[in-house]
Amino acid sequence: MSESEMAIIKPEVMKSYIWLQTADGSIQQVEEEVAMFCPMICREIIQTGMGSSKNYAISLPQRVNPSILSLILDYCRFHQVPGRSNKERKSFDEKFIRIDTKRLCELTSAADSLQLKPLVDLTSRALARMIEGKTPEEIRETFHLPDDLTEEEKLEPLRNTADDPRIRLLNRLYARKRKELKEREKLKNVEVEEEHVDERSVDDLLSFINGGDGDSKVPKTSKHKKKNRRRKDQAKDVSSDNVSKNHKKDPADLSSVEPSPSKTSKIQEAAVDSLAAKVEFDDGDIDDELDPAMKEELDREVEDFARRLNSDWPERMQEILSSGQERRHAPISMNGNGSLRRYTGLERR
Amino acid sequence: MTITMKKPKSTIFIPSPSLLTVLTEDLLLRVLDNLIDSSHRKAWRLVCKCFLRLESLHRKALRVFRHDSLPNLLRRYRLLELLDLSVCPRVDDGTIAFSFGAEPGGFCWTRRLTKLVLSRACGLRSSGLEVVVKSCPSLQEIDLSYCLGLGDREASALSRATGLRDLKLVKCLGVTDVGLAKIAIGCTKLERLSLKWCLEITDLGIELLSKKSTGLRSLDISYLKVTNNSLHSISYLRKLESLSVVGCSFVDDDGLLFLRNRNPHLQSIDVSRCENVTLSGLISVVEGHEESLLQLGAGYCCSEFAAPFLNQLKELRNLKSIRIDGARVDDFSLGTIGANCKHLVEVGLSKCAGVTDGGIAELVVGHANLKVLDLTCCHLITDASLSAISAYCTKLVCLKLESCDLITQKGLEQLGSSCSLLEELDLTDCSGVTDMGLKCLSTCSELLYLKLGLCVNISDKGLQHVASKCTKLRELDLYRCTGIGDDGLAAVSTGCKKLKKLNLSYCMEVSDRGLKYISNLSDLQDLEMRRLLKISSEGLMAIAVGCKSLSELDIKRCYNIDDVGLLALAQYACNLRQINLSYCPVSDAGLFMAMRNLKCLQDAKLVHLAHVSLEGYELALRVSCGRLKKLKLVSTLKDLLSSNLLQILKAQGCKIRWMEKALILV
Repeated sequence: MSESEMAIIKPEVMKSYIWLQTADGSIQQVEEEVAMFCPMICREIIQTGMGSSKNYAISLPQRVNPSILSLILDYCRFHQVPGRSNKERKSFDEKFIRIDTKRLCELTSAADSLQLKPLVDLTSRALARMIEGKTPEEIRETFHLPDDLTEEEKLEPLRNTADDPRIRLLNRLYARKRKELKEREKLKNVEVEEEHVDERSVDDLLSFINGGDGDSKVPKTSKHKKKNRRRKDQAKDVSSDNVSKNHKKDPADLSSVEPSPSKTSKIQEAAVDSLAAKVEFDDGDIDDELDPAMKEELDREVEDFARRLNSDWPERMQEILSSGQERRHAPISMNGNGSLRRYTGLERR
Repeated sequence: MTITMKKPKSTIFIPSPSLLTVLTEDLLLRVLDNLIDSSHRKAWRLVCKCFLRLESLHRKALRVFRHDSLPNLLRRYRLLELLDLSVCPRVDDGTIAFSFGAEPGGFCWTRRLTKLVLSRACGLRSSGLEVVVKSCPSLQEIDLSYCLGLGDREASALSRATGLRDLKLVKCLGVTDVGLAKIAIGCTKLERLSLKWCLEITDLGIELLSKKSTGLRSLDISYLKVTNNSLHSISYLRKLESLSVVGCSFVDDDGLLFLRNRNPHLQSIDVSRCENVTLSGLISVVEGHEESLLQLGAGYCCSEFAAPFLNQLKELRNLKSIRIDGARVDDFSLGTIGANCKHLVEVGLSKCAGVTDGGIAELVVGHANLKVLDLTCCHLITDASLSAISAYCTKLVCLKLESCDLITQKGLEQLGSSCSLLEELDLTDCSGVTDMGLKCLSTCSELLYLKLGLCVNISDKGLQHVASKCTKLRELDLYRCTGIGDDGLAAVSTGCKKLKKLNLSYCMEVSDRGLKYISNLSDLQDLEMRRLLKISSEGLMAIAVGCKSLSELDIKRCYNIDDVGLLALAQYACNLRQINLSYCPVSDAGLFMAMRNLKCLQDAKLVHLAHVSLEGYELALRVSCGRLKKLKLVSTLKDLLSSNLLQILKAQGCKIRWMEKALILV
């Protein structure tokens, strides 16, 4: 039928329709006032004059598929009627967004491409309400999102995990491990000189913490550089396990407490464990004779270290206090007689 | 007949397309717009890399709690417009240089910063402020309140921030007229300025300010030693909208006369606590501002509000808020106020003598828009007043009835049924409040702040009613409510999940069991539980582990708390900023561990820790001296602590209060 014929047949009673074409090619017709509710369609009609017949249908953006289009048109059909009260609109909206997550997302996207702002606001709010109160794991399940955060990112650097000296040590070992693996990958046959320097720094660290007890260890390990490094690192992985196990033992003091901080150590432990496995796989050529002795010494060293870090703080404090001072002041008496002098214990320097 | 066997479903898992393919980042940011609660945003951050990145782009305002996380946070959030460092310990010149200093290679995060809150940064000096001003070209608002060490050099550094519009210098004791002059000359766009408690400022400074900062819209010169001449200068500020001269004892009616018919846009004026101001001064203020005046504060100045002034109120056609605290009123004056000011939203009659049921009835007639009504210490009020209030003021949001002893269940019943929008209710010291009264009140489900201090006739039953229905409750004050016990706390912990502030001081029946219930409130920030003798370290441990947001804790005189409890706090309560341990039997080890591990601790009250030795104090304070801003100690320690330590504390800007108190263990 030609357009002029259409014009003659069309009485006032008959509604005028707009033709819309979705990306997959299917064409729909919809009442004019409903379609005009969408700003984008409205603009298309006014600017280009398209949409008045099947051949000249307005092509909609790619994000709008037919089923979503019908949803959107339902929305427009309801809201474009001017006489409705706010309450009616609100209850319609509430029922309207009760669809499954996938369709809700598609609806948001489609509404955005058609520039239907009230619908975009409505659907964004609905999505936000879906997210509220869920744990990250649940959010990932609902929206099929990848779990691609690194362990460090998950630990939320906002929280101060580096405060605990055990975790700091583990972090350092972990970082060193990573660096070493990278270097080993890149430079297969390079001299061990640099690694020697690294080794020294960690030894220094351990010996410093042990207060000089570990000094005798350093010349020993420097003899058998290459082999010892690997074995020592292996042993260190074991010892770091020990440290983290001791860390888990710590809340034994406060036994009735749920172990929340041990979670971080578990993650660290897991990370170090996985690297330990890698190292073991590479190092098939280990001498057995030195290994147990080294292991034992290192175990002892680390346990000593762990003990010092963990408990016995009052004793430790006594050590600090008694190491520098001759006299011990009694607890302050409230009847402050002039015989009590100012504290000078820490002003020796 | 063939039987078709169904093939077992294949176990190949075809992943559904992720949300990220459907929604653009723009739309995801819109969804994020609707997530306001910080716990929801935290969950968002931990979902995936894309969400983490989006949150970093989206966030415009940041409040930092920990000094150590500051660099990480600033690296992550590059589009900040507001930065709040008021609760971050150790904000000094070094920190500022490190955080705000220009990064090599261009775009610095500070370029977008418009608002900066640095109140209580007691270590901050002029070099730090210079770095701030240089690196934040868009800076419009800065709050340096309570930085006691701030002086003229710092004011000079500030004066180079030419875009500054809003400046708060509350209690910056070192700022003098010279510093103020520099600011007035340098910050030409200044619109809002607060000089409250800057005691060195005189008339000269205000005069220069008025001449130079002609665009000033809001000025606060409360508690300054300025005279009427300042008001004369201020009358020339053509754009002034809000003026506060609270507590200026040298200002009197002659000064207020200067304001007559001047400052055409004046909307709000507060002359509370100016002893020498009388009604004629107030009348002068009203003249010329009939259309513009919205808020009038005249508390504790005039003793009587006689007819001439009250009739003048008729002229103030748009007045929304009036406060006449401390005055003597009668039914007639209240009726006149009610009749003359038709658009009142806020009325303050705190500690006014002569407020009766009749007066209130006449006041509230026809005021359907009244939202805030303060009747603190109006002892003559009975249920009849509440009846009148419920009849007319259905949109009431805040009602203060402290010490109104004659209120009973009947009044509360009417309040509960009509004023369903009530958010803040103060019933401190109202002995007529009973469990049934609380049951009637529980219909106000929008309640956010509820004060029931000294209500000795309520018990766990009443609290259970409130807790079950008022789920939005944020603050609950049960000071000296001796009838409250563990069961009440059980109800609160299940019903009021969003509770942020809880006061259980002197509620003797509360024991460790109750504290274990409280530990379920993960949003709890402020907990006060003085002198609870039935609690021990076990309960405190539960609180430390469970209340992850705990930032203020008061356990003064809890004689059964010992080192174990303190060690638990040291290990778990990492957000603790303020602590009161006075009179607790903790020893050197516990105190040291607490002061060492609580990295956010900035305010410590350590009066009369009888089991702590001098070394204990010395070491504990040394290990935390960089962070401490406020300290309260018994005065005998002033001569016993090493002078080195006291010097360090002073240099860091820490303020020490020495208490002259004998050790009495009651």
